Amino acid sequence: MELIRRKILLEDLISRKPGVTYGTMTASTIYVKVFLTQNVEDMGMYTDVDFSDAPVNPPYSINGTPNTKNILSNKLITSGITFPFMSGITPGVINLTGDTNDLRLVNKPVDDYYKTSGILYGFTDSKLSDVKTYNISNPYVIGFDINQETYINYTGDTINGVDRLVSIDLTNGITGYTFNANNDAFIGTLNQTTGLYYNDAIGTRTILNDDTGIIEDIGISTVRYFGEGWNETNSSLSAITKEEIYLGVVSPPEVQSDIFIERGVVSVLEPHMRLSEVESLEHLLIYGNGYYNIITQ
Amino acid sequence: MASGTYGVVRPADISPGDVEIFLHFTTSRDNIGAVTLTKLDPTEVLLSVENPNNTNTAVSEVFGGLYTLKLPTASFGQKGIYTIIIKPIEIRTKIVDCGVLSAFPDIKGLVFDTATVDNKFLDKFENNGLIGYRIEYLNTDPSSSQKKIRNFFRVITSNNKSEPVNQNLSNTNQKAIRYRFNDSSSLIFTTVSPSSSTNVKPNTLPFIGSPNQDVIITNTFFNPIMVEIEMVEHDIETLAFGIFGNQTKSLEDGIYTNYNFSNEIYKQYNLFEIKDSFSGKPLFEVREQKTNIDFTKQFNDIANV
Repeated sequence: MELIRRKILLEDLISRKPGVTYGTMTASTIYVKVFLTQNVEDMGMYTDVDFSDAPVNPPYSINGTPNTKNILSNKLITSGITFPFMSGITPGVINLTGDTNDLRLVNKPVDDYYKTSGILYGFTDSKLSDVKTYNISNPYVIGFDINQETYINYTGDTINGVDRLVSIDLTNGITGYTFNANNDAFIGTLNQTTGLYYNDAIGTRTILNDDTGIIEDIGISTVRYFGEGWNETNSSLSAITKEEIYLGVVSPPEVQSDIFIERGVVSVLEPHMRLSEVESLEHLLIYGNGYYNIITQ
Repeated sequence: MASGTYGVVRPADISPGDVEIFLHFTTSRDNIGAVTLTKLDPTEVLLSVENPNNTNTAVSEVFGGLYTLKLPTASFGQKGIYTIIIKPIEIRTKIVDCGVLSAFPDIKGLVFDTATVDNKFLDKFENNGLIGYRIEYLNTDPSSSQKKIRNFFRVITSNNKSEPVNQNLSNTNQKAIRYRFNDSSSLIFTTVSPSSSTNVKPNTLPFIGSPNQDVIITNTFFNPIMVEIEMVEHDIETLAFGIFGNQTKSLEDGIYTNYNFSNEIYKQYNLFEIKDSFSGKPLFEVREQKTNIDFTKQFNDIANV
């Protein structure tokens, strides 16, 4: 435990103004700053466990009234018998406060944890060549779908995806193209929420080329997309518990499968083939091959 | 900078609800007497600081680590030594059962009942809300002179609402109570560490508690600290009043006045001589502190005459 020592002068709290308050403590509060810290350690990985999020049996009572949908309560009521438990002693009400996004909460299904990010932007390198056609004289054809693919998106909706050059604005030097966007009127607009939309603009920005170690200029390409966050493609809801063998272990063990054991073709002959490596009587004493029983006299 | 390392100390961002604050007072270091702790209300005493980096001033954002102790002079106005202990709050409850999980019989744990938990702590007992909390145990032996089991604790590694199931055991016709996770339940199955056997003694399991045993559950959100505040009448500042501060001596009535650096009367004395009553020979020169301050000796009044 950390010990902090402070010395406070009472004189600072006492009034020296002339009058009846002279010599009395007129300050009402002393303020002292402290700094609190926490030592942290990673507990490691957890183990998923199935859980039930709905009542397995109807409760004995609801709001203090016996629940006839419960077999036992119903039987007792029809028999003219009542017990206190049928009026219900409910567990304490849990009042959640603060941020509990990290907890699995009762009656909160998995889709309550889904959260999207909205439209996002980022710089990248140009992908314009991916919408280039085989037309030699006019390789970039506005509105031409270089690829079409129907797929299911993160919410389970069917998307008629297209890869398309959307626009070429030679005046402003802006070229727009999209990949996997739904084939609708929103392509190229801020309302496009499917696929990736790219803008190649005039100008340059600098990047560090890792291969050469040289700072280079590249074109300005912006990618715009809808950040899908947590959704049904990457989220599941499970109770977790702790297996102690994984305390402090932050990732599951990996099996390195780069050891190959060759068997079959030569296995029958292998013991005899090994004899070729027996070069002395000592080797033969050790090896034996399950056959040679060397008796020394 | 070394790559692959990380710091393990972070500024704590606790709320007053996570804290207990105790106070002890003694007038001197050689007069400790019986140590009686007074409990202070953390919501009144511990104030968080607003993070200046927060641009959304409509919503408060705590500045990690830094807290202000707000101490009322009504309780802290005496000369002496005040010891303030700031520690994680204690949740006192009872282990209602011990058992294993239905799906993982190797995982042992403690069962708590939310009905026996103070309402203000119930939110902590949400699924996995107790991870990182520490359990300390109270003695089950009523004849023991010490209620708390010293130097013994376990750390909670998970907790989930659970219900009992009467489960068939493998290879026998025996049945036993196991626990399975059910959010409709008011029982809490809690795993703790250490709770596994060692490789050397696979049949020897560490003690993690027993049914009906009272326990103390505390968070580990911050490292407890102790603040010792010594309230003193004098320090360098007050001595400097006497050495460097303004002074006046009234020749008419012999009142000698010391002023603080704001020219307020700090101390006032009567100066007089004691003479032999028969011969009139001076015996002593006396400086006696006045308790009845003569406010006509304000420095600014005298200096402006």
